[in-house]
Amino acid sequence: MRINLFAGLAHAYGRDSVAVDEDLATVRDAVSYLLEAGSPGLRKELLQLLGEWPAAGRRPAGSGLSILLNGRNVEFLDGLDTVLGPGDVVTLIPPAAGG
Amino acid sequence: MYGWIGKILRVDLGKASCKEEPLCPDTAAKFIGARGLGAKILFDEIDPGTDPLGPGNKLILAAGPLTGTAAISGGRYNVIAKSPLTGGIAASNSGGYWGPELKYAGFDAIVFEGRADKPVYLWVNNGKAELRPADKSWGKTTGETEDLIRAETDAEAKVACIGPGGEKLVKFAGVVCDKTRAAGRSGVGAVMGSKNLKAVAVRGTGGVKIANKQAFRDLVLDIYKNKVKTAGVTSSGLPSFGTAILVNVINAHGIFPTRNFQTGVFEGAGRISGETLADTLLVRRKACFGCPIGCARPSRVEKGKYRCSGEGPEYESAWALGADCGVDNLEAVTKANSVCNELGIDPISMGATLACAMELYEKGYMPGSASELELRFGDPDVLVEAVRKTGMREGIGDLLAEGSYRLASRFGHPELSMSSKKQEYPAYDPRGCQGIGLNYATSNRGGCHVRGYMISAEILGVPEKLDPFVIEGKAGWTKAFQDITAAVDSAGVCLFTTFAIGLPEVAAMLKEATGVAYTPETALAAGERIWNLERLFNFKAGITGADDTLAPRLLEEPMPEGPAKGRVTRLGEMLGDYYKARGWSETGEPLPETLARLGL
Repeated sequence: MRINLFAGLAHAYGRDSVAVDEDLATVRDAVSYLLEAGSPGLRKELLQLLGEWPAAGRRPAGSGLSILLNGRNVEFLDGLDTVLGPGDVVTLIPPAAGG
Repeated sequence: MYGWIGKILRVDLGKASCKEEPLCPDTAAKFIGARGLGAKILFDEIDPGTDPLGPGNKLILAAGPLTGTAAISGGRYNVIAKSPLTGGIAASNSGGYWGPELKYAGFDAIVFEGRADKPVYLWVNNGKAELRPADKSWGKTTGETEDLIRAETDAEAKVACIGPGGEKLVKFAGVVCDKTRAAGRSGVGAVMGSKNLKAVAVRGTGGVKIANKQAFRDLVLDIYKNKVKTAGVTSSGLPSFGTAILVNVINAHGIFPTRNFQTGVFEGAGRISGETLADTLLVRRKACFGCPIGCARPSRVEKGKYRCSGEGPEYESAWALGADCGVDNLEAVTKANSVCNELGIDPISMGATLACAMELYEKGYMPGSASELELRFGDPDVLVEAVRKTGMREGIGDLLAEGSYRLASRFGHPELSMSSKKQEYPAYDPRGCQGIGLNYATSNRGGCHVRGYMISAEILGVPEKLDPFVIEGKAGWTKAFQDITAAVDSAGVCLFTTFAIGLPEVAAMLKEATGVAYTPETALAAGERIWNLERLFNFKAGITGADDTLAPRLLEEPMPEGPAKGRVTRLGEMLGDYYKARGWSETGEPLPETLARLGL
């Protein structure tokens, strides 16, 4: 599977994509993986957006991070408990807007 | 009056006369200002059936009561006229510094009537107005025009002008101020050109009287500290990456229209994204009047055939001139955007019309003999040259200058125009985002995202996350977004503030600034009143409920790939609920009781 990072998260990490070889069961595991494997800068940015970690519920305590699984916001799936499969793409998006 | 200056300047271009008239306090309170005030004047004063490019049309430049005050991002003004692109009402919104200066010069609005015999510009200096010959600036780009007119008037003057696109009546020409800020959509620049009016220069040293100074100051400071500086979008996302931060985001959702909406995923999105712009061409960030967000992106291509300097591309222009034309060369997109600014044409309709032409060409519907350019998707050189030709109405550009609907109709395939009411859609494919589709279909100015930005809730989660695939509840949400936007536009603050604040804060600022007892409810009612007045104008102009529709592709062709694969826009299932929520008939006409409730 792959984790994509946008905007400030990509800048903090210095890369916009991470290929993951490990078997990760859920979106929650993917976020934890990134917190452990990523750079200190990325970890700081992510934790700010997540609010607190580990999250107790199906969504992060903070409201600053959007998480997509294959382009679908996990809020409309099973949140952080959404099950991952081979070839999935998880995308982490910090607050963004335009028009 | 407080908030409002209390004066309108009326300019008869045919008689070369200028006169002041008072702003009616009741009208001001009911329609707020800017977009709402312009709609009221247009509705009352012109025949909706008039030729939009004839002398019977009027061109109104209007600020809101919060324009030029300390309100957050209070630098907006609107240009209102009957649109030559849609045939309905146009209200095009611009930032920059022109709007505040109009008020400091002593007016809330300027109404232009008739047509000048020769090119002129208006110079307004601290309450005094005069028409001057524009023979030196006619034919010049927007940047050159601004420099010339400042040299002839005042180095501190603020100039709103048209480029060659407006002079040549390109149907999607805009009005540009501060060289790079534009009232871009619906062809208001062509209306200005049809009147032989090149520019409006304003300079003033007056101020805006505030009803409750201390309360207003405290309120704005509180909003700044506790809303704008704490909301992620306004404190971080927009300031850091500008609007083009959305390129990757919308592409990841699979609703980034590509090659004339043939798909919703662009393989080259990363190369034209806000992140790439920040890493390569960005010079610095920049803000409009009174704006702590600062989303503008001065940029520069240092060398090569796309060498240019200016601002952007914004999200919309990166999409229209990029993905929609299949171009992933950021330097070419930046150059094309720069040419749009210089020639004074709307990059959204420009890119979308070119994309339509490319599909017509590639499918063999447009014969090769019709175009001196090989109009194939993905060619950056063709992109830049087609934009230049359109602004100058040269060769194939003369056809492109009519917009996608007229172009596609000419070649027998109007269904390939990605537009509603003949105005091209912006950068979101509604097949994967139902509410924005309903907004496109019902927008009073045709295809447009900023009449009711449902993307905010459906994709960005502001004020709350709505499932973009679901249709239930979208009618009410769309109506609310549209009415709130009408109120915000009319107040004179930037719509981007609504990523941090809501109508309660806007109403509170209006109340303290004007002394009129605005509440969230009365401000919302004003927005609904404005929306319905615009609707009435359109009905009288012959644009009815039958026009509340989308391009057939978006209704019938399932999205071929990506997260929205297999989906279409379910407009028919939402439209009836929307009409009910609005208090309109089954055919979309405002009912008498609705008009009575709104005081129309």
